[in-house]
Amino acid sequence: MIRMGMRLTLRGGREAVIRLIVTTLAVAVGVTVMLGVFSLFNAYQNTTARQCWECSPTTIRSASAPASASAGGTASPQGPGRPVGVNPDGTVDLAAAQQAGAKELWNFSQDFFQGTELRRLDLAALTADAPTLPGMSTVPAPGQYYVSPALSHLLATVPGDELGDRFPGHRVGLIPRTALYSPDELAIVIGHAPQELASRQATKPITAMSTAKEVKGTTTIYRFAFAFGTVALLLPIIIMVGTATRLSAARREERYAAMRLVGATPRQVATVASVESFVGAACGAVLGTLAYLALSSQVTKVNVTGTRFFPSEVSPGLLGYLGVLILVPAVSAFAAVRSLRRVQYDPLAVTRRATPKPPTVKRLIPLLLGVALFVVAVNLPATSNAGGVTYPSLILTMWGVVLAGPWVTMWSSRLLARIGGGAATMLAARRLADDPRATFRTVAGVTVAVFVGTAVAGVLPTAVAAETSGQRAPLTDVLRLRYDLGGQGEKVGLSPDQAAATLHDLRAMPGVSAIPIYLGAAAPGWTPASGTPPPPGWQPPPDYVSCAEAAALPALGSCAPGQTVSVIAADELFIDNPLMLHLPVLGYSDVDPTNGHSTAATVPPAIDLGKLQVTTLMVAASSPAALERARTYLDIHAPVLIGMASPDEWSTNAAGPMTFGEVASVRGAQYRAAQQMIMFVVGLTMFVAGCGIAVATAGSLVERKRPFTLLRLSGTPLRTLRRVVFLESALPLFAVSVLSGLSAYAMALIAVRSLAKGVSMSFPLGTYSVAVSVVVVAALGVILGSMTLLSRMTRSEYARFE
Amino acid sequence: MSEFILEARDVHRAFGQTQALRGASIAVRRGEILSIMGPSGSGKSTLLHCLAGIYTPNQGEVWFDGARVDKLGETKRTELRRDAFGFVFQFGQLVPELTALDNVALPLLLAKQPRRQAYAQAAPWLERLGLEEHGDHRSGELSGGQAQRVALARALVHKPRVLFADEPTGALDTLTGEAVMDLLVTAAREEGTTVVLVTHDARVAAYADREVIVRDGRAITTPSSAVA
Repeated sequence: MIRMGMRLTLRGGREAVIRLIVTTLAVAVGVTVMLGVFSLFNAYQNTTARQCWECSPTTIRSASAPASASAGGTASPQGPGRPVGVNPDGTVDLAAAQQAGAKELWNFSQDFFQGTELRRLDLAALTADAPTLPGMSTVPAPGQYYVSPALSHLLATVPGDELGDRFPGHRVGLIPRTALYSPDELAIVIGHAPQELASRQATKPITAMSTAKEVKGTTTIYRFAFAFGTVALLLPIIIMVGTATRLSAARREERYAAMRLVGATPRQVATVASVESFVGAACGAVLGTLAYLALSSQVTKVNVTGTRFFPSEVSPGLLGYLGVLILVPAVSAFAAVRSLRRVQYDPLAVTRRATPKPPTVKRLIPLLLGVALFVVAVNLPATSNAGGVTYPSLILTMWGVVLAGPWVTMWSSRLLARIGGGAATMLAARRLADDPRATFRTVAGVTVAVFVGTAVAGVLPTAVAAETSGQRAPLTDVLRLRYDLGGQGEKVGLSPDQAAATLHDLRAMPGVSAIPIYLGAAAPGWTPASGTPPPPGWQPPPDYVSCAEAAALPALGSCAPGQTVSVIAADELFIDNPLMLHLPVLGYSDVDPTNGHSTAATVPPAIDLGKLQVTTLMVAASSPAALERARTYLDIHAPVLIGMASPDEWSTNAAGPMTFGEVASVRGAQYRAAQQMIMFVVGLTMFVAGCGIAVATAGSLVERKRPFTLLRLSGTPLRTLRRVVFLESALPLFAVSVLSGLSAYAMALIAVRSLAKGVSMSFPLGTYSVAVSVVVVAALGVILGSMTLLSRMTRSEYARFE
Repeated sequence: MSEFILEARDVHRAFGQTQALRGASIAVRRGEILSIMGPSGSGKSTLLHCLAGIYTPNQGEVWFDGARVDKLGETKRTELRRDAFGFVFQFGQLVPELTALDNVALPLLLAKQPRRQAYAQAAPWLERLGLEEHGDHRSGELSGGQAQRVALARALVHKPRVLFADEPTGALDTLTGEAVMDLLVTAAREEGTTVVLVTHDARVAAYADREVIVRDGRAITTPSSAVA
């Protein structure tokens, strides 16, 4: 029977060949897309498996518990004691550190260049076996540095006063690939003399670098999104492959029935059917794999998570290849056998087919329930576990749209039959109403993609835009530096002399202006050095700003007429989520970020700002180049020395030399990366679903070759038949996509209105319209493309059927 | 050994609410050609399908060569159709992807005969029915009469004991229909095959030795052809 199956597949005439070609092509498209997704997922997995050399290294700690821990603070994960060899001001006691066995001095900081994160590690080897980055054999010597390829390119092309001058020494090599997560990563490892680095605050004496994997806050989200995206993508692929392998199923079922009539056992028929499907799917799997190999260089350029992957890591792996080459044909053969269940029990070619029961209005219940649940979820207090309700409601709604699809298809077809006149409308409407489930199945992939795409387009751009819009917009390109967190909790800043010199130099730069914020007198009753928690009611010292200087940034607020100095809620400016930044801050000592309630404060009389330490600098620049020049100057002459334990600390403390726009960018990058990945999956889903529609339309034409030919022979104009085919495909596509899009838009609107009050929805109508138009035009093009098949297939010379 | 090779005893068969057979009983002698006649919807095709083991009756018995057919499982009935029965229907019985010779050899291949032997056995049948030049044609390249002759060759190639023919000339013109019937009857007589022929055409029925009328789901044996 295997031979018979091969015979029917490969030498079964023109129709069999066409069927084989269509099946092969459909499976090939699905396999290519699947391999591409597997490759990117593997690359992402490899990225998350990279050794995080910038994460918390192994430090040396004393045996005694730190005062803060005993006072209820959080104990260090590395040990119970205080770091050995670290002075109270954040510098290193080199002798103590070496005596304790430190092998290296380590200082990790994060910088930015034109909105892009730059990871900087300053090292000083204390021993011959000082730890270094994975893939690097030695620690850079004093005056030398290693850079990532992307930063190397920037250093070669950007003027030194905008970037290169920040890094002392000269380049001796590139950071190896194993130490980087992306070819676009900006990173530098700078070597220093021990004495030099020891005098820098936030430096740590270490014995080993971290060997942990980098776990970002987004890692779990990406894993979930990849898994969800893969499932969302597999659905239309399975539908398309299933449709392709069942092409002209009715004709084949007649043939199988004829074989059963002359004595073929169910097993023999199943063997023939599975061989036919297996051959098509196997050819498709091989062709798809070859197509993937041909396109793999392009796949490496796909930017899924916001940064590109290393080309060598973008591969489905041996398991991926084998899985596709074995599983796809096997599943296809199994599906073919499953689809023959009816024929196995009916050896007559004439099948008594019962019209399936029409879908009922009950199918709308999950959709309505999902939306209702979502409304409840987004209105839950932020403190409650809203996620536990939100995610199920989203899944329920999406499932509800798919479940409601056949019902919508049926009613739209009935509406079409009622309002439309003519034979074409009647024929199309009757067929749609006859089996709306089967009709909807072909457009289900597009429906899911439209839902996800609309929801993402509604929520994420709004979140990104809201962070740098409205009151916050004027602060987007303002650089903010905080000097009061360098020590062990001691609130210190630039001395008046340091501040004066820094301000002088900054203001001398073309296009640069600077606003200093001063630290008021310490409040009596408690000092951080005491090692005890502050007593109830104790208030930190206030921050002040000159009204004349603050006038340069009206977004901060305004002073009363005649007022020269104002209190300013400076801590508010360093909040890591710009959405929570409540303005104005002038005239207030504190602003509650959760509700925006401000605490008004007044300035004591006869205050002399010139004698106060500067805790914060706000630097505005007229151009990106001026901004980078100012940042380079500050990096060298007034660096912010924040000790960082891991890269993620940056976004949580948000205290580095960043602009407000960059703070938003760090957060927005996560949204954008998620949006980009979702859109990538949606795009692929659309593509695969479009191919599925093409296969289904062509399949339905082949299936109905006989009635269409007879209709044409009996005088039905070709244009009428074309309208029938067009309406059959376009109507469910349009009706259900509208339902899907509206549901998703409504949910996005509810989310934005409920979760970000006062923020208007930034729906990218232009981009969305273009994307939807492209999809609709492509889908309609696919349907119209099948019209040539209709014309050729229904010619009178094909009126004979046996 | 019984005189009758095939019997239906008080057979009932319904499709949903439609009662197609309401107690039909007939008996077919060995080697005879029996025609079952009746108007459209009378149940004659259903009776043939019950006799051939395609349908199992809801009530009643079907006997073939002394054994209950209606009690057989699907696999046994499949084997019975493959080994002992042959079929010629109005249309739609050829596998379109196969050539005429492939179609004729199909029952032998399904019975796991060696390929070479199956084709060697099939080829003379094409010659015998005047189709020697059409062996490599697919069904779409054959005329209606040629396709029916291929179907006849396929039905007889494995030397069945009973040939079931359901409106074998229904889709053919009179002349072609007569030619096909001539071949069918001649071949059956030569092979000693029993033929059960369903038709509503009196000219086709005239080829039979005996005639049974089916009306409202019951078989009525005409006086001239009553079973003795």
